[in-house]
Amino acid sequence: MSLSFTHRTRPYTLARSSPVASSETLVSADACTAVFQKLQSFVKRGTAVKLILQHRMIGAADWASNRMRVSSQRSEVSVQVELTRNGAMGAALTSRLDDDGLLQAVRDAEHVIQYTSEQWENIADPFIDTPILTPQLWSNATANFDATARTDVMHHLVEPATRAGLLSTGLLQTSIEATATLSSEGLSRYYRSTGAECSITVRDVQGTASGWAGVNHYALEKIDPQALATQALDRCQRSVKPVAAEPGRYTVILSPQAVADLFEETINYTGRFSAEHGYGPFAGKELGRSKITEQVMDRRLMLRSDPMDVDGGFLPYDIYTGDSYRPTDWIDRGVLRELSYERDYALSALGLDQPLSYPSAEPRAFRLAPAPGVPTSTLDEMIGHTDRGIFVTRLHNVVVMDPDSMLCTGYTRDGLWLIEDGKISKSIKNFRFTESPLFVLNNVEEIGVPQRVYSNRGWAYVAPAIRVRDFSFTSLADAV
Amino acid sequence: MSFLSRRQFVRNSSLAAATVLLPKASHARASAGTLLPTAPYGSATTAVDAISATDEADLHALVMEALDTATRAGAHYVDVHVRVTQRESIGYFQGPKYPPPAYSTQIGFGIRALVNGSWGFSGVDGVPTKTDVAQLGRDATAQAAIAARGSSQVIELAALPAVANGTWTMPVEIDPFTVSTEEKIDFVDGISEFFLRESLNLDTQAWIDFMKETRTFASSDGAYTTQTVYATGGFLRVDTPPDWASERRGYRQANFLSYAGAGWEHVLNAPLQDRAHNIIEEALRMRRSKPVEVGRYDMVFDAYAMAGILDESLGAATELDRAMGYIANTFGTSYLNDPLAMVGTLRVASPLVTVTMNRSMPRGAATVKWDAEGVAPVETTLVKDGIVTDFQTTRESANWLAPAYQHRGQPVRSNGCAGVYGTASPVTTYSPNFVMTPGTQALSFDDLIKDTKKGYAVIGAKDRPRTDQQALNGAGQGEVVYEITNGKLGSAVLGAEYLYRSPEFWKGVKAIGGAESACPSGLDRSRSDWHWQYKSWHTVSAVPTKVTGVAMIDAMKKA
Repeated sequence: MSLSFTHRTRPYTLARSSPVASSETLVSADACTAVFQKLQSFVKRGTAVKLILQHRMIGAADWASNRMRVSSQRSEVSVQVELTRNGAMGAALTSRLDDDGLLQAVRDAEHVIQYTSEQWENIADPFIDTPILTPQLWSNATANFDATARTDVMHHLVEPATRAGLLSTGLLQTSIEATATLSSEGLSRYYRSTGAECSITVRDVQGTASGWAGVNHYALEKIDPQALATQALDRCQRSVKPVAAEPGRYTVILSPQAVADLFEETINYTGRFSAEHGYGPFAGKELGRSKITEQVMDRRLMLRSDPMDVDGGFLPYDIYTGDSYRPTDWIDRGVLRELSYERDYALSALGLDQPLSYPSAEPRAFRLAPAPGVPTSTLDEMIGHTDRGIFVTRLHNVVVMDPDSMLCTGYTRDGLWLIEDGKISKSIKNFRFTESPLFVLNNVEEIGVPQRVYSNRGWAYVAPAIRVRDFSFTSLADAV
Repeated sequence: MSFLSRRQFVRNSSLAAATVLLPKASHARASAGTLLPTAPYGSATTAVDAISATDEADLHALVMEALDTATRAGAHYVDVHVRVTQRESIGYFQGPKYPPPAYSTQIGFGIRALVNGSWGFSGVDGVPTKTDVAQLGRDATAQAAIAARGSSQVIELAALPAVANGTWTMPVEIDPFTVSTEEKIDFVDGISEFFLRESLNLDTQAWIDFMKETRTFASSDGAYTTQTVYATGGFLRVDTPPDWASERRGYRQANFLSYAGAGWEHVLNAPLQDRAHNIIEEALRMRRSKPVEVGRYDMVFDAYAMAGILDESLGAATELDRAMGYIANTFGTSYLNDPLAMVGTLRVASPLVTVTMNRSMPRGAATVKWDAEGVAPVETTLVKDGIVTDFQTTRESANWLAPAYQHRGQPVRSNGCAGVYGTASPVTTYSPNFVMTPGTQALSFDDLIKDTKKGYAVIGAKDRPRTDQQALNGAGQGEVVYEITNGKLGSAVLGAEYLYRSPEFWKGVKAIGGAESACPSGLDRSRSDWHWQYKSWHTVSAVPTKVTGVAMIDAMKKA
């Protein structure tokens, strides 16, 4: 079937072809297959098709200053169509699932192919169907949690702040998602998941104090919104009238959230290809080598990604290639053991039959934890062991200044306290910090029990609280 | 002037040539279609264009159905927005791998309903059927009714004359979607070839990006408008080989390519030829640099650096919903945290500083005829001679300043900052274009330098300034920083970071450039849902500025 480039597509069609995903129904596996077959019917003979379809339905209660701002529902669709013919590849993106929309995407992808024949040689990667792990990422209770339920919970979350004369602002959101990857080579993946997130900020009317707590997970029953509300309120009440402390190096206790905030950028540099070519914190001493087998962190720490992680499960395959993710210990007792491979590098350069999981592809997930057998400390114990230090709730706007050292800057927010003689003594004004997560994780004094923390992108981060020496706060940043 | 393909251009240029022609394609509108060998893709109508009269009727029917069902379900106010967005990106990277052009089409419907003073929203990506859209309408009202439970608030929407049948298209010279992909690729290749042929082995990265979006809006007040907007932008970065002595590479970007509310002409007519040698020279000069001497100095910022600072400080701080604390949990708060008390009285800057907002400037990336609530935006002064005088408002938030407006004898009216981030997302406050009013004297960047005994000049921006959650403290790095000694630019400086605290920074403004020195930057400070990475551009027109008492530190130094 040839495509005419003068074909007019109509963006609005009344019931000519009912879309497979309405605002009420999550796209099913059969519906995804139907979309794929439709795409195949639209393309020229000899064209391989790949479809990556993501459909997310989100319901949210968004409140501010103790009152609901908006109760919403959204259905978001992303359809990526990729065509390959004689080594040339073209792709296009759309949010449409109706026939005309899919045809437009095919036309766009076909158009791209003619510009890529000369320059973009795709090695025909055979798809190797390895079985995927099957993490539990679906919760019926979360899928059925509707606007009425969200609003009811919201009222309960706001009530303590109202009683205390403070202002609660926050988000309670639940979602259901389907993701499918299908290709002419026989790749066929479909996975459903749910998502829940709750984050709350409590502030005083004068704007001198702010406390925050939040977490996300696949299931609402795994988070405790009421506990978050209590924690945010408590942090606010204990943050009133902060005093200025002197910038400098301090012993610092980073909450699990702060550890994740600081560490998460490091995940972007776990590609072996770039490390072996001298880029990023895991680059080796010479070109062609990474830091694999070298110690990069305190020996008491490990870094792992496992789709079956009990606190931080995630989609068990790469949504683009369909390659299944195996559990991987990136760092074991402080030693870098593994980095992730781009697919063609793994297959061609390393002669592997399968690439390893790629944590810097989305969704991102990591578990930073004490290695097995390492004793942990509670937060109270860490505070008790600190003669003089600072407790950090959370970090804001963390930006990498230098990928080689992972030197980052950013700000503290929503709860910062001085610790003196083993006790939290006073609330202090926020700081700007200049520090590297890898430096921090090499200066560890105590490690806590890891817990799930908040990722505003819904990713699965698990991190412990950590007490570290010589954390660098470079200037006062007196924002509240 | 005939179209120079990359091949012709390369043949014509020579290393010794005093002037090298950059490709300047003629205005080869595809409808003329004579200059290009094959049926150009650009001549096919895009999804955005392909709205025939029948389709307009179809869309109208869908929109009215949504309005209707939402209203019948009990909403006191309803509005519907539909977005059809087309994007095309063309990039060039040196080497064998050439990222192919990228295309995307997005369509989304969003319905907002107000019941008993509470908002509900329902949105969907894609093209809904009539049944779907009816359900969406009912859903929006249901969401609002649920939101209103147990709530005793009143939301008033500032009055607005409803435009019953409005259409508008952003004026551009050349619709980029009528230009063939081949012409665009040739253009990008031409830039890269040009720099490659300079004798110094320069690396270049360049891309160009185009967006065209049709926005349909209807409300239960009787409004129905359709508008088409464009956003065009490009990126060019030139990297030099390492210097033999310092072993450092240098680089420089073409700041003037940032996004604008314009068409193909924005890229085509960009002064790449004129500025090419400057770009290369500054990149080379950057390689021999010295570290910063930490301290407080007089600083001269160029218009591009100032745009970023303005946007992240006063631009963010004057978003009224932020200032009222309503986005504290996500994007943060504002140091202008008592708008009603502060408006008209609080000094936020030197008397030299006046900042206005608009959504009407030609080539403004946030320019529209009506905002996402159907309001015709009004040019508004946010800061007058250093005093904060207004905030960015929507129909709902304008009422929060009602006492101040009434006191001034002004109507209580949204100044037109409603927008949508993403196709199926609720309406929120959206960045308008900002203008830093030029000074009355015809001062240039060079004049400000001449007038400075000791300090630093900050040119361009390595990235946008990084601010805290209250838009109060910020830190940034220029793309190129020079020492200033006795009115002259001296050595380049590496790794210097300026720190500012917004009130002190703006009050420390000592001199600003005149009208001739103003430059626009296309910036994005979005509240988008990450999933779509929806870019929402606005233009910030700034002037070179001299500021006193700014701290300069070594960016990489720890405490």
